[in-house]
Order: sequence, then C-alpha cells, then structure tokens
Amino acid sequence: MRQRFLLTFFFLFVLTGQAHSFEVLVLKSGEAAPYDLAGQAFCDVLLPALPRHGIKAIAENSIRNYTIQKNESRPAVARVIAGEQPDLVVAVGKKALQAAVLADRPIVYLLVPRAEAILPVDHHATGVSLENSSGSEFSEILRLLPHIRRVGVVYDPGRTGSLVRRTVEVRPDLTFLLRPIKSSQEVAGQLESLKGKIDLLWMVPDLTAVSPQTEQSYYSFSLEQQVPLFSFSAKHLPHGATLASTFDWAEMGGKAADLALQVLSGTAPQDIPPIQPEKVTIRVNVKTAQKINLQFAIPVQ
Amino acid sequence: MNMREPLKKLKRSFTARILLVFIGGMVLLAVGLDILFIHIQRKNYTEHTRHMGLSTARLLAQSVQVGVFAEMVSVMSPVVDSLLLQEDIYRVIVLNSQEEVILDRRTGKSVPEEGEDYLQQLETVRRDGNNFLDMAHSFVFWWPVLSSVAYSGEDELYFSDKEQKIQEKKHIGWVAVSASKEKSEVAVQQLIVRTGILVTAALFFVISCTVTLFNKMMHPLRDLVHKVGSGSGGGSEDERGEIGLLDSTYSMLLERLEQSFATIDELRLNLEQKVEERTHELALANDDLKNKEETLLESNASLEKALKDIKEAQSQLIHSEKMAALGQLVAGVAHEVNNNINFIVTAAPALEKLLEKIRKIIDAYHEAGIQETERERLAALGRAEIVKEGLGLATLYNNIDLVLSSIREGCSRSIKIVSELTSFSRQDSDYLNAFDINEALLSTWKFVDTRYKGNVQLVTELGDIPLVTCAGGRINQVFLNVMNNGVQAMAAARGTLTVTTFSDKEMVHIRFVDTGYGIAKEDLPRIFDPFFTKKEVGQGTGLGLGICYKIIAHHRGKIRVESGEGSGTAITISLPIYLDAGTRPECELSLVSLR
Repeated sequence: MRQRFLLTFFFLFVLTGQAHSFEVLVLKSGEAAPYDLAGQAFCDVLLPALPRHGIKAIAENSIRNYTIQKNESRPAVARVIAGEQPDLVVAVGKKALQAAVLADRPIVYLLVPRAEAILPVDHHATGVSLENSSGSEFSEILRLLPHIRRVGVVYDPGRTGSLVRRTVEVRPDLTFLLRPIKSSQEVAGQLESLKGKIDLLWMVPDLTAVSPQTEQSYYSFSLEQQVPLFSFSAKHLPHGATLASTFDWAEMGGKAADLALQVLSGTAPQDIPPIQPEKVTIRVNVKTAQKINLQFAIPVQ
Repeated sequence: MNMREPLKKLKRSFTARILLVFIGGMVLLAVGLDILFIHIQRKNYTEHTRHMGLSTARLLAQSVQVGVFAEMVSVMSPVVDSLLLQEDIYRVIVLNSQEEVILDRRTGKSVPEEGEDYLQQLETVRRDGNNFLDMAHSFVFWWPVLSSVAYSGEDELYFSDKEQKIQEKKHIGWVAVSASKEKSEVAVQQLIVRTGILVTAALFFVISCTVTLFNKMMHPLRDLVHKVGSGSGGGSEDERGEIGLLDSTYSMLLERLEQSFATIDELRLNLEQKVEERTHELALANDDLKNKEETLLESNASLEKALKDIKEAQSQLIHSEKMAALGQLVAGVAHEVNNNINFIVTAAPALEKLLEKIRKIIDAYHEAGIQETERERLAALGRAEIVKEGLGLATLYNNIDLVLSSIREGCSRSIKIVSELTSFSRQDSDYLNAFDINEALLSTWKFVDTRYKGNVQLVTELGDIPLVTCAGGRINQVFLNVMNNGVQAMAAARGTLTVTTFSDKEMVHIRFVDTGYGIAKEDLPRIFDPFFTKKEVGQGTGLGLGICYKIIAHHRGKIRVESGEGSGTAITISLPIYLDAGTRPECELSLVSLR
C-alpha cells in the first residue's frame, strides 16, 4: 500500500514536471539465479513506472543488463559504465558494487553483503541490505522449534561482530554462546567447545568462520551432537544444514526499484537510507531434521 | 637279489630310457612353470596390495581433511584408530602443511624398524612421483591431504554460480599408512605350498598316464621285436635288451635285403636279354609286315584299277541300255509319226490333181476375160462353163475338203504324238508334282516296243484313283520298262497285258499282268540285280528292273512280283499318294513264286 502511494506521488508531483527518458544499467556480479530473479523484478517494477516520453531523447526509457565476466577487472567494468553514462547504475552483488563505485554515477545496490564496508565515504549510493539484524528469523525458528533457548555462534568479530551484537540485543529471549575466532583453523576447536551446550548452531555470513574447510565441521557437529544447524543461505541445506533463512529476491528487486525511482526523481542517493528486506523465510531440510531426531511444533514441508 | 641287475636292465631298456628322459623333462618343466607362476602371483599380489593401500591412504586423506586443517588430533583419531584395526596396517602418520607430524599412531605389532625418517620417505615420494614405497618388511603408502580454497568473496557465501566450477584444491598436509608384509609373505608361502602340492599331484598323474600309455604303445613293437628276435635267433631280450635285439634283427634284415638285391639284379639281367631278343623278333616281324603292306598296296591299286574298269564298263552298259531304250522309243515314235505322215503323203497327190482341175477352170475363165470383143468373150465364157461342168467344180471342192481333212487329221495326230512324247520325257522329270497315273499308263503304252506290241492286246481296268505326288518322268520310265518286259515275254504267241489301277487310303496300286512265259523260280530273286537278264546278247542289258527298283525306292513305294515258269507274271507297283519319307520303309519288295 505504501509502495503504491509512493509511486502515485512520484508520478503526480515529480516526474510529470520534468518528464524525460532514462537509461538504467543493471550490473550483475555473475550468473547466480538470485541475481537474475532480483534483476528481473527490478526491471518489471521500474519500467512501467518510468515516463514513456521526454525531452532527453527520442528513444524510450531503456534498462540494459550487463553481467560481469569472471576474469573481468573492476576498472574495465568501470570503463563500461563510463561509456554508457547511465542515469543510474543498479549493482546486483558485491562485485558489481565494487566496480560501480569506481564510476561516478548514482548507484542503487542489492544483494550485497555488508555494503557499508565497500562504499567510500563520499559515495552516491543507496540500496537494499542483505542482512537482517531485526532477529525476525529467530521468531520463525522458535515458531517451529519452541524448545530452543541456547544458540551457539562462531564468528569473526571483525566481520560479523555488529550483526551478532545487534541480534543478541534484539533477542533477549535467547541465550547466545559466542565463540569469536581470528582464523578458520579455530572453527573446529570452537565447535568442540560448544558440544553439549547449545540447542541451535547458528552459521553467520562470515568469511573467516565459513569456508569450504570449515563447513564440514559445522555439518559434522550438527550430526554428532543432534543439534540443528541454522545457516544464512539455502545453499548449505543440501550439504547438512537443517534450517536456512532465505529472502524474497523479487521483493528485494521491487524495493530497489522504489529506491531507483527516488534517485531518478532527483534525490541524492546518499540521502536515502538503505532499507532491509522485510520478508524472511525459513527453509527446512526435512531429511537432515529426521536424522538428528528434530521434532517440529508445526508440520513442515 | 643283486641290485645291479635291475639297473643294468634299466640301462639296456630303450623304453625305460625314453621314459626317464620324458619324466625328467616333465619335472623340470613343472618346476619352471611353478616358479614362474609364483613370481606372477607375487607380482599380482604386490600390485593388488599397492592398489588397495593407495586407496586406503586416499580415503584417509579425505577423512582427516578437517582434522588436518584444524590440526585437531581428536577429530582425526577415530578414523585413524579404526584404520589401525586392519590386520596388516601397523602405523599411520599425519603431517601438516609444514610437514610436521601432527599424528603418529602405531599398533603393538613387532615389525622390524625401517625407514623411520618420514621426511626422507616423503622426499623419495616427491622425487619419484610414486606414492608407494616397497620396503624390506613393509609397504608405505603416502597421500596428500587437499582442501578446497576459501571463498574469494562474501557473495560466494550466499550464492553459487549456475555453472558448477571445478573446486580449486589446496595442499594442507600428508598421510602415510604403513602396512606389514607379513600377511603378504604368509600368503605367498601358502601359495607356494599349494601350487607345489598341486604340481606334484598333477606330475604324478601325468607320469602314471604316460607310463601306462607308453607301455600300451610299445607293446606291439615289443611283440614284433620278439617275433623278429625269435626268427633271427640270437639271445633273448632279457640278455640283450630291445636295442640289441633290434640291432641284430636289423643286421639280419640288411643281409637278406642284400641277397634280395643280388637276386633282383640277376633277374634284371635275364630280363634285359629277353627284351633284346624279343625286340629283334619284333623288328623282323615289322619288316615282314612292311613287305605285306607293300603287297597290299599293290593289290589295292590293282583293285582300284579293276573297279575303275568296271565302272567304265558299267557306264558303257548303262549307255547301251539307254540307247536300246531310246531305240525302242524312237521306233515307236517313228511308227506313229510314219502313220500320220501317210495321211499327208496319200493326200498330197490327190490334192495336186484336184488343184490342177481347178486351175484349168480358172484358166478358161481367164481366157474369156482377156478377149477383146464381147462375142469372143461370151464364146470363151461358154467354153469355160463347159469345162467347169465337165470337171465338176462342186465335187472338186468337196474332194479338196476331204483331202484337207485327212491332212489335218495326220497333222493333229503328229502333234499329239509329239506332245505326248514331250510329256513322257519332260525335262523336269526329277521334280515332284501331282501326277495322273491312269493318263500316264495310256500315254506310255504308245511308246511300248512296236516290234512286240502287235501280238499283245492291252486290257485296261483303270479305277478312280487320286493324283499321286511323284516324279512323273521317272514313273513313266518304270511303266515303260514293265510294259516292254511284258510284251517281250509274250513275243512268241499272242497274249494279253492287263493293266489295273486301284487305291486305298494311303497308296495307289498299279498291277501289270501278262500271259507270257513267266520267270523261273531260281531266277526270281535275281531279277532286280543289275545286269541280270535272260535275253539274248544284244537284246537287253539287264538294268531295266534294277532302275525300276531304284525309282520306286526313291518314292518309298512297294513292288510285288508274282510269277512262275509258264504262268505269266504279275507285277504290282504301289506308290504313296503323298510322299512321306518318315513313315514307311525305303522300299518293300515282295517276290512270290507261283510254282
């Protein structure tokens, strides 16, 4: 409802006064499916909302997609952006944002983990954050598993310290057993120290704590200790995670389109605060849950 | 019993020596094959152990990946301890990426220590590129511990590319598994014992079979040697052995063979002498034969000359027969022509006289025509009328018509004779055509020899017969010959020649019956032989009936002769209506003697 009101307001009072066509470059970090879904949702929402005629060009509004190749350097991508001179760059993923900040164009980002760490001080960007520090995902988990009280987490304070800290603050109903680490080699040892002490193992999006070498330790811990493993990404479900939080990529694309419309209407991006995804879904690997004898309060698919 | 005797006997026996050599060869072959088999098995076992050991080391490296990465012995211990439960594995070493030992476990097995310096082993592995070390008392299997490389960015924490990329691996340590050779050595020893037992059993069986088979095979030869030995005399087999016996037998056979060769040589010399004598005799016989051949050639030349003379004589005779027949024919023709000419000859003087009288009348009228005066003319006409009346002009004309009629009759008959003669001897006499037999018979009668024809009365009983396909000229010749013979047979007294024709479905039959003196019984079979005749010399050639036979045979006809001395002769000639060479014999001849 709010979105519709915003769009109506935008049409009536903003774009009608200075109607002209826009060029938007959607820059994707790779070929991952979430990038495509979010990018497509962005286009589907933005394109109908843009004016169909204007003074800038005879051509209609255009949204061009560009996918960064694996070996393509950031300066090279920045040159592409400079050559296009789009009115707005939509950076989908971290690599896209890292390249986009090199070109002096307004940016709307999405699906970028810890975007604030990438953006320079004088940036012209806003976007949709990939983290959800509201702790709402634990509400969903407690709805399924009401017995959970103790949550163990291994994390690098330099990377995910703030996320963990905010979550601990907003979830006083849960007891978090924090195991800070400085290198990946410590993960197995810290997990050893959590044996018999927790009801849920939380895997945070931390490059130090989560790597191909350490993921197996998480899975082994979960199976041996009969403790569900809660991951931030659904891609860990087939390998041994029991629960995973996922976002609605289409919703995130739509939110990015809202931000893009504001930027195109003349608002400076840096003046628009980043927004967080609202819809958080918890997915369950039923087979793993059965193996660790997990009993759900409500039926799950 | 003296032990030397069996040994001597064994030494003398050829069979025993062969068997000993064979058995020795078999034993050597079996031992060689057994050693080769054991070697191959040992190699296979080592290869199998290598394969299994490396697989074990690879699995161990995979299993301890987390423990090596975290360098946590407690993570690796369960896997290593379970591995050490295997019977032959007695030690496991795990190294980190700095090649420091982070785990070294061994069992209580007493294995001679060797190659304790793991760094030296690792150096060997790296240098040779071979993860398998074959030590004196153990096998050591090395395998690197690899781990995936950490994520390059936080994006990868969340998202995976659609394309599955090959995960890059990082070397994070080593594992080494030591296995005792004891088990393998025991297995090889067991293998040697088993194969030894098997080979010994197989050898025993093969040798037994060979001895039995050899005895059976040698039995006929031994019998033969016994027989030969008993025939040749000398000592017994026991005394001399098979070879000694065979040697003496061979010598005796050789002596006999030489004697046989001498005998054969002698016989050969006799044979050569006999062959020489026989060759001489044959040469003489050949010369004699050549002389006889020359004589024969001379005789042959004489016979050819005689045959040539005979053929010339035959040609002359045939020519004479033709001339005689022609004479008869010419006589007949001349007689007929003469009769006809008589008409003209007789009429010519009469016609001349009649024409003279007419000329006188004409002259009288001509005289009247040339008179100058009317009176004289009338007077001359009066005289002319008187001459005319006196000579009887009408009568003259009638007489001239009669004379001319007689001449015309003579000419007509002559033309008819000539026509019939032409028809009788037409040029295409050899060509087949539809021929009227009845008409031919009547025409032919006119040319029958006129010298004898006068005494003969011709009686014809010609039936209604169809035309016959034949060479008409030739058939006329047959009829003329038969009729001439008939009338000649009746020359002494008057007689009758009865000619009858009739037919059936296939043939036309012409029967000539005369009342002449007939043919004697002994002459009847020869009447168709060439040159056979009972006529006086110069009266006939004896070829007439022979020619008739040939002509009738050519027409596939039949001739039947019935005759007896003093009983006349009946000749029946049968001709096929349609000449068909395929269904009847060449000529069917029947001779019937009436008495």
